[in-house]
Formats: sequence, C-alpha cells, structure tokens
Amino acid sequence: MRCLQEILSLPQYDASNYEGPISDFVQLLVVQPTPFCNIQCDYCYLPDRDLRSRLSRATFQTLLEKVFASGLVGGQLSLIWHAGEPLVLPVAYYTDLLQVIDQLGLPRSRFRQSIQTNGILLTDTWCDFIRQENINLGVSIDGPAHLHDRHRKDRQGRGTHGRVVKGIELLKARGIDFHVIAVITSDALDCADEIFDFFLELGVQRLGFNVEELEGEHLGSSLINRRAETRIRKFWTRLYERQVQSGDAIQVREFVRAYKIIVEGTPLTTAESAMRTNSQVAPFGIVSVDWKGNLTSFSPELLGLKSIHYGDFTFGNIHDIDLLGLRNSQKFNRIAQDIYAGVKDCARSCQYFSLCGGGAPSNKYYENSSFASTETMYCRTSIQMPIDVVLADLEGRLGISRSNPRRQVSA
Amino acid sequence: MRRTTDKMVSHARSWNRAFASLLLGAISLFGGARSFGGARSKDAPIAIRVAAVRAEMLKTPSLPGLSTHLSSDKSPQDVAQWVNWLNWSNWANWANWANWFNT
Repeated sequence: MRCLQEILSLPQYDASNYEGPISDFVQLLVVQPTPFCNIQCDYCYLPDRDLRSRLSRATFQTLLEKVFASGLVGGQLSLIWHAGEPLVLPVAYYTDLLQVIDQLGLPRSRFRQSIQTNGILLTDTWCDFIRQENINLGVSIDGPAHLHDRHRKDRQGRGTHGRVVKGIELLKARGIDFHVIAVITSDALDCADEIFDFFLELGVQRLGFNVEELEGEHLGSSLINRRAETRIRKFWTRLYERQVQSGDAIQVREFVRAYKIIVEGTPLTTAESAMRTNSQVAPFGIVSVDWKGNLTSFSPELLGLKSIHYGDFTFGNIHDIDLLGLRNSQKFNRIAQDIYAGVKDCARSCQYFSLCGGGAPSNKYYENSSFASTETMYCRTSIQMPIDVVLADLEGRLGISRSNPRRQVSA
Repeated sequence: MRRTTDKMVSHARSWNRAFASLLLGAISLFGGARSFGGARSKDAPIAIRVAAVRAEMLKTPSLPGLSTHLSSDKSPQDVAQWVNWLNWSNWANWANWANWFNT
C-alpha cells in the first residue's frame, strides 16, 4: 500500500540545478562510529543495527580535512556521534580517533561533542572520558519501567529499564550533567503525571520528548491518527502544567524551545530566511557521514535509508569528493530542490511558518511521500502544539485576549 | 408495483446512507482540519498573537515560569548554565538534531 502511494505520487524532477541558498556553516556534523546497537527498540528507524562495522581513523581524518577545507566551519563545530549506539565501541577507540584532531592542528575547543546513548554501557571509564572531553550527553529513557520496557528491549527481548536507571545513577554520582530524551508512544499519552513524577524523582533537569514518528525502518506509528493527536495535545498541556507547578525543576525541551521562539525568535518571513535558520532544510547545515564515509545532508535520519524516488540519500563518499563537490551530484540537486519547494509551500500555507522555518524534510518524505510537501504529524505534535500551549499560557498571564490580541494590547 | 416501490425505497435508503456518509465525512474533515491544524478557529493568527505577547512582555519584563532563569534572583552560575544550554541548543539546532534521536 505504501509503495503504491509512493508510485502514484512520484514527483516530476526538474533537471535544473538547485537554486536556493546553502547554509553559511556546517552547524552539525553527524558521524556514525558504528551502525551496531546493543538493543532493539521497536520504534527505531535505523537500518543495519546488526552490523558491527566501525568508522576507520583514515575516514575520520579525511572527513575532518575536507569539512574544514570547505570553509563551512564557523567558530565551533558540533560533532555528534550517532546512528548506532556509540558506547558499544570502547573508550580507547574514541581516544584514538580524536587524536586525528590534534594531528590536524585543530584545537579541541573548536569541537562540541555530543552523544545520545541508551545508557546501558555507562561505566566509570566512560564517565572519565565524557568529563575529560566535555561531551554533551543525552540518555534515552521513556519514563517508568512499564512504559520503557514495552519498547526498549535488549537483543534477548528483556526490558532495559533497570540497566538504564543504573547508568543514570552513575552519572549523578559522578556529577556529570546530562539530559534525557523520551520517546512518546500511544501507551504513554495517558501517563503525563506518572512520567513527570518519574523524571522528577530521578533528578532529571532537562527533558525532551520525541513523539513516535513514521520514518525509515519504522513504517508504522501508534500515533498516526487524529484521535491520538487530541491525546497528544492533552499530554503536552498537562506536562506544561507540571513544569510550571514544579517551578521549572524539569525544563521540557519543547516548551523551552517554544518559549524562546515566541519571545526571542526572529520571525521568518520567506523561504530564503528559513533556509538560513532551519539547518535541516539548508544544504550543508547538517552533514551526516556513515562509517564507510558516505555523505548526506539535511535530516540526519536520511543516512543509510532507501528510497523509491532517489534510491538512497547518499550524495557521495568523502574519499572521492570534496564536501562542496556534493553540489555536483544530480541526486543532491533533486533533493535540495524538492526540499526548497516544500519550504516555499510551508511559507505560503502554514501560519506557524514564521516560528518554524519549514519543518523537517525526513518527516515530510516518510509521511507525505515527498520532500516537496508541507505539514506532517511531527509539525503538529512537536512544533505547533507546544507553541499553542506556551502561547496560551503567556496570553493568560499577560491578560491578552486570544481572539483579539490587537484590541487588548492597544487598550 | 410493490417490488418496484421496495426497490425505490431501498435505493433511497442507499442514497441517504451515502449522502449521510459524505456529509459526515465533510464535517469531520472540516472539523478535523480546524481542530488539528494547530490554533483553533476562534483564535487570531499565530503571528499576531506572538506580536501581542512580545509587546505586552516589554511592559512586564519578568514573568514567572520559564523566564525565571533569566531573572536576577538566580546565581550567576545558574544563569550561565541556563544560557549555555539555550545557546547550545538554540531553537534551530535543538529543533533539528533532537528530533531524530530515537536511539
């Protein structure tokens, strides 16, 4: 059914080159040290999770040489180890890899490293390394055991909750700062209080929620229906109430982001301005590389995925081309042009555009079967709803009428 | 004659059902679009509401809640940590990378 939908909606490719702007800087460099993961979450979108291959030192060196030679590195480069469980490789592997930075004469301070881990393999040795390298660490845990263990099982089918909590306790004991990301599935939606209480008790201060998405290997979501979206809105509303009641003891990423956008964000008026702000839609804003050196840009989820429209999303291999050489790839031009068209449509049709900047290409592709499309479930549930919740709260506190804010303010 | 009438009634019922389905579909589509497209129909456009909030906040610089961390009653260390986090995860970056961490 899905294939039929895709075939019926095949876009008409324009052979001309991409004409939109590119990012001024590589804002995120996503590097896959290994595709292997020690657990089997049922909502994971990543392919090749059984493959134990690893990124070679030579590939990492070539990557850094070419990224810095491109002139697209600003003051600090965010380097994210991702697309597999990074901690399945030993600390010694990363120590060796990071020596490349020194050999190239680059100060370590130019890099801001991040790791998102399932937390199971955290040890004192890892804590030492994380502290030494000043790594920004995120741990994935979905809340209380009965929610987490339903989806996040190990390769023997056992729940992983106890082991993740143990890892988090170790981080706390070692005084290592971390944030948490929780995936929200249908069964979690009625448990906002329980989830908030769990994280409060665990001592989590920064918490992000990823609403289960339809992407890559994960071809179904328990939340792809309108009724679920009503429940998601209630879930956000209750979480926000709890955050405020707790005196911001836990800061929920979606609300902080919404607050920042509403209060301080630069309103985006055109697709071009969005392309310079939303690094996920601007070519080279995000560069992702797999363990073999294959490169892609835009949404990092696209790394390694297959597509009926494009074959895959790889634009070339770092051993064969310079970074900016990706622009000569026909596939790059097709995809960039389609994404650009989608952002322009968002600018025309979505009232949240000035706050969002064109959404997430991978979600558009996997939900709407086209990059050249607009609203997705991700837009509604992870961008629009938190904005609605925070905006309504601010209006309430400031005594602004939602239906006629102009009259209220001028009065 | 009776069979013809039965047939006509049956057809009419079918058409009624079809029409009712269409009508319900249209209502649910329209209502769904209103309900799930984000802001409710009674609301002003988001951009206007945001502008109003910003204008009003200029008059009320310190709000409780999320802005607490930006107020002066926090220690410099608290403020620095908060600002660093926000800088590091400025909304564009945060919106982007955090979206795909389902590992």
